[in-house]
Formats: sequence, C-alpha cells, structure tokens
Amino acid sequence: MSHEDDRPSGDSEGDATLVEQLRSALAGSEQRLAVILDSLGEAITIRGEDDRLIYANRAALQRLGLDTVTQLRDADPRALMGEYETTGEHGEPLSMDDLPSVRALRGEQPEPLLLRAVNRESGDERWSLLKTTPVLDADGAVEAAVTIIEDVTQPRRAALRMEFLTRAGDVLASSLDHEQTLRNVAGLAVPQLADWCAVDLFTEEGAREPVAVAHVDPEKLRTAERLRAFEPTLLDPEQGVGRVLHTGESQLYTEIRDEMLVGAALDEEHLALLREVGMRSVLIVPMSIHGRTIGALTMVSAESGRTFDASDVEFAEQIATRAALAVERSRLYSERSAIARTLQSSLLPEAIPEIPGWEVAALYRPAGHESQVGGDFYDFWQVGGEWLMMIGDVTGKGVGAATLTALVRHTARAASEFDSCPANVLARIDAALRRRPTPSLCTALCVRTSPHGTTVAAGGHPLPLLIGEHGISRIGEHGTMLGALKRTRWPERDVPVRPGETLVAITDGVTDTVGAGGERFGDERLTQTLVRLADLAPDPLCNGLAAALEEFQVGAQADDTAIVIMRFTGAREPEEGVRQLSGVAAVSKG
Amino acid sequence: MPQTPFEMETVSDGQTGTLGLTGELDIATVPRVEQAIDALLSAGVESVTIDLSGVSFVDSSGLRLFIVLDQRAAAEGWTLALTRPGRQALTVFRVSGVEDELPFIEDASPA
Repeated sequence: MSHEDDRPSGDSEGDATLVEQLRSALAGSEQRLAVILDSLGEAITIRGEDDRLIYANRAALQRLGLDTVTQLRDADPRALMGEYETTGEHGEPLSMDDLPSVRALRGEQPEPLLLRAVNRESGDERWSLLKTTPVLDADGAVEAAVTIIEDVTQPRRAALRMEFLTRAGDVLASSLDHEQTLRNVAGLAVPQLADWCAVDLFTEEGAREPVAVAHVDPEKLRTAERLRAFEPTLLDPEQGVGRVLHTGESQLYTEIRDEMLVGAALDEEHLALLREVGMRSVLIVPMSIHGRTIGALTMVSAESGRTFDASDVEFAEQIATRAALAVERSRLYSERSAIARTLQSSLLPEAIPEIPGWEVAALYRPAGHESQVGGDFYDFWQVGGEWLMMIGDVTGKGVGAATLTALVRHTARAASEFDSCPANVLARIDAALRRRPTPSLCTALCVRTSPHGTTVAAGGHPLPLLIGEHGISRIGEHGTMLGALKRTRWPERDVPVRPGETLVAITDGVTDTVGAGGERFGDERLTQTLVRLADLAPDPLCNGLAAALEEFQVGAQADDTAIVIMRFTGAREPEEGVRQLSGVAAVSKG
Repeated sequence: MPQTPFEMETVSDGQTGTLGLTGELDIATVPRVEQAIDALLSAGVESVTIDLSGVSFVDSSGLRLFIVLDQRAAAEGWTLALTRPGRQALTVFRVSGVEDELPFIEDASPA
C-alpha cells in the first residue's frame, strides 16, 4: 500500500517514461484503493513521518470531524488528538505516545488497544479498538502505520453495563446495612458510568437524606461534601432531585450550561463550587418501590466530558430499581430486628440484680433469626426479704411468644406479692394461661431464696442441678406443664444449699442441642461439663457452658437456650420482715 | 440444621388415619407432624391415631404438640389416639404430668 508519491524504488537513471508510467498506474490504483477504503464502515488511518496522519478513509474522516484528506494532512496530529479526552480500558489517561500507530512507527509491535474517546466539544463518547500494521520500506524500516479502527461503543457499553449489573447485584445482596449498600453502589458507578455518583434517600416528609457520594478523586469528594452543605433539605419540586421526588420520573440534563448553574446557585460561594465541579451532563433517576419514590440516584459527568443519553437513562433506572429494593429489604429487616430486640430485652431483666448471699450469672441464646423473639426467658425479683428466680420456655417464637412471656412474668411477680411459694407462683401462671383463648403452654422453674433457705418448684421444666461438695445432682421434683392440664401438681422442695455450692438452671434447649451425627448434648454431657467447670465463679461457668454448647453444636441452633447460674456465698444477713416458709409440698387443682 | 433421625408414615382409609412416627420429635420436626395431621383432617379423616412406639426422643415442643392436638380434637370434633413412645421419651411425658392427660391407647394397630 503506497501513498507518498516520491518514493519509487530503484535508481531513476534509466527510462524516465517507465517511471512516469508506473507513477500514473500507481496513482490510478491509489484512487481505486481510496474508493474501496471509503466504502468500508471501519475507519482506517495511515500515519507517517513525524507521526502525522497522511490518510484517512471516509469513515475515519467523519469521526475526526474533517472533510478532506488535505485537511487531515495539514492538521497537527497532537491538536487532533487534543480534541478528545482519551482513556484506556480501565479509565487510565492515554496520550498520543500510547497509540499503536505511533508506537509502530517507533519500531514497537503494539497490541491492539481499546480506547475510550470523549469529544471535548460534543461530549460524545466512543469506544474504539485500534489495530495497527506497520508498512515497511525496502530497507525493512517502518515507513508508515496503517490502523484499522473498529467502533466498539455499543458492545463495550453493553459489556460494561452487564458487568456493572452483576457486580451491583452482588453488592446489593451482600449487606443488610442499606447505607453501606448504597455507598458500595455509588462506588461501583465511578468512573465507568459517571464521574460522580450520589445517592439520596427521602424521608416520609419528603426531606432529603444524603447517603452516599462517590468520586475516584478524594480531593473532588471534599468538594462534593462542601457542595452538599448548600443543598436544602427540603427540595424544590421544580428542579433536580426535588423534581424527581415530585414526579417520580427521571431527569436528564444532557448539557449543563453556565446559566443553569447561575440559576441554581444560592450565593456566590455556591456558584463557585458548582463551577468547580465542572458538570457536563447530569442524570437523576428515581429509586422507586411500588410507585413510591424513596430516593434518587444522581450521576454527574464532569471531567470525562461525556454527555448522557437515553440509553444511560434506561440503564440508570435499572440500577436505581435494584437499589430501591435492597434499601426496602434492609429497612424492613432493621425495623424487625429493632422491634425484636426491644421486645426481647423487655422480656429479660435489664441487669442481673445483686442478690445478697448469691453470685448470679445468666445467659440467653436465641435461636435463628435476629428478627425473631425467642420463647425462653428468665427473671429475678424481690419480695420483701426474699428473692425469686424464674426460668421458663413458652410455646413458639415471635410476637406471640413475647406476649405470652410478658403475661407469665407479670403474673409471677403479681402472684408472689400475695404468696411467694414457688408452687403458688406456678399455679397462678397456670391459671392465667388457661384464660387465654388459644392453647398457651409454658414450662417454668421457680426458685425462692431467703435467709432461711431455698425452695424450688418445676412446672414441666427441667429440674435444676446442684454443684455440691459431693458432686452434681438434680434437685427438686417434677411438676406439670403450665397452661393446659386437668390434673396439676407442683411439688415444692426445700433445697439445702451450702456456701460455695452452685445452682444451675437451664431450658431444654441446652440438653437438646444437636451435635455431630444428630447426637444430643444430653444430661450426661451437661453433667460432665459442669464437673469440669465446677470450681468456676458463675460468670466464667456460664460462659464455659455456652462455649461447650457452641463447640458441640453442628449447624444452626435449633432452639433457644437460657442458662441461670447461682452460687451461694453464704455471706448474707438476715433481714427483717421475712415471710415464714411453708416448706410443704403444694398441690394445686386447676 | 443438623439432621436428627425422624421419619413419618401416613396410612389412611378415608375415615381413619394413622401417623407412624419414628426417631426424634423436636422443634425442627414438630411442624411436619402438624402438616401431616392437617392434611389428614382436610381429607375428611375423623379419627387420627399417632403411633409413637418408634419415637426415641421428645422435646417440650413435641409435648406441646400433643396437648394442643388433644384440645383441637375436642374443639373440632375429631378423635385423637396415641400409642406410647419408647421408655426414654415416655419419661418426658410422665414427669411433665402430660401422660395422664393424653388419650394413650395400649396399641396402635397390630401391624
């Protein structure tokens, strides 16, 4: 492929006519070649001496905004390139020296280059794949470089968007903290889709809550933070984010002109900041859930110089819809979790009280989801000079379980004011549960301790263990489950607890914990564990038992577990007005 | 959730249904029994026998299940019968005072 006319080969001493004929033949073929090349869709350029472009077919001229090859030859190649903001595949800035044609002229063998060029004037963005072949002269030196430029804008955008959607999907699913999620989404959008990306959420009252803003350059981020300080919390329904909130429709500002900035600016400082950002094009899309606009995604094109178009709107809307769903999901989750935590904490004592003569520790491990209230509970309260402890397990989970637990706790406290015998407390709970319209069942263990001794009664609940001088034993006697049975009995037992001895009360979630091979933790393993931990104070003992359960357990915890550990130190002083203990097994008819 | 052995077999002739349980009945498996009972009842069965002879473990949610079923049967007008589980599981029924209250029969079916 020859293009410069004064490089015929060989010596020209001989037949001038022959040379002339060759010249004309070559000129003819050059013209034919030019016609062929002009008919191609791909842009083709030839770069020669001094890196100047010496040929471009019609497609290439069009893309360069030129009419004739002569204009091209006259142009300064650096000035031509300067009309574009050029970056590589990953957003890295490219200069003329990075172009394959220029590198080929230097004798390198460049790989094809994927290049993003944004026309500084029009903001038009193009992705091109540049493949260069060197043209060698007779001496084997590179005399020119032919470059085929394939326009890959559409496939490249499609690929970037697919990639973005995939990553956005992962990001959106990765966290239930919606603020973090939105920060991640904003971070993903730059610099591939926009130079800036900001996310705002709207409150019920329509106020703006800025959540995230991302830019690759931290310096620019600071500008954004300063800019945000100017933005009113209550939005103007006529423009920008406010209009998106108001109409629920996307707003595309293809070209941001200076007068628009002047119009939007609140004062000189604000205007200066707005100008500093150098917005080229702005796209704001709603984040909507069931027709309700919960937020907006703002994409700003600035230094990259590109302008947004209709396909950008469509794509940004897709992202915003996904983001909105993720926000809604995490909001619901946090609300449920907060409700569950509040309920749960209202069902357990705020703190373990100081019980004279005792060291106490307690632990509650709810099974399953954070957003579910469990059915196990424990409680400590004082009646005169006595202390009562109750541990129990109501049917079910969730709000139903919470209601039952509250009923059981309040009934127990109220009942003990009249008669603090554990059997009486259980009988009153049983009666209260029976009055419920739906079957409401509960197991509970009640322990009363006073300077005169310790008494226990159980209603369908695992009996407590005593870590004593001579080993570990179950104490007390089984009684009937609360809430349903016709014949009930709650035998009360006085338990001689000596100083240094420890009471261990659990719910069945402890012994029912499932380990490898489907084996249960069971009574025997519980006893062995307590033997191992026997010398510990209640706190470390409680933690040690929980750790043993964790270690034993395979997979998710199936049932709630509650543990109460009470060690008798003996260092207590008798108080006045202490009720006389009955010390008799109570039998109650339901 | 780890696997504990539990199996369930339903036999029904339209009028009466027998639910044979084997293995461990706990908080994880109770919902399956509830579903099976509901399925029998909605198919028009009027008498349900739950055979517990193969049950080796029952937790408190298992106990509650039978109490609730007994109350439901009385309220909804169908008949519930149970056969006793293995010794270890039966202890749980006994100590919680539930055994005497439930409609245990000596044998489910001479299968």
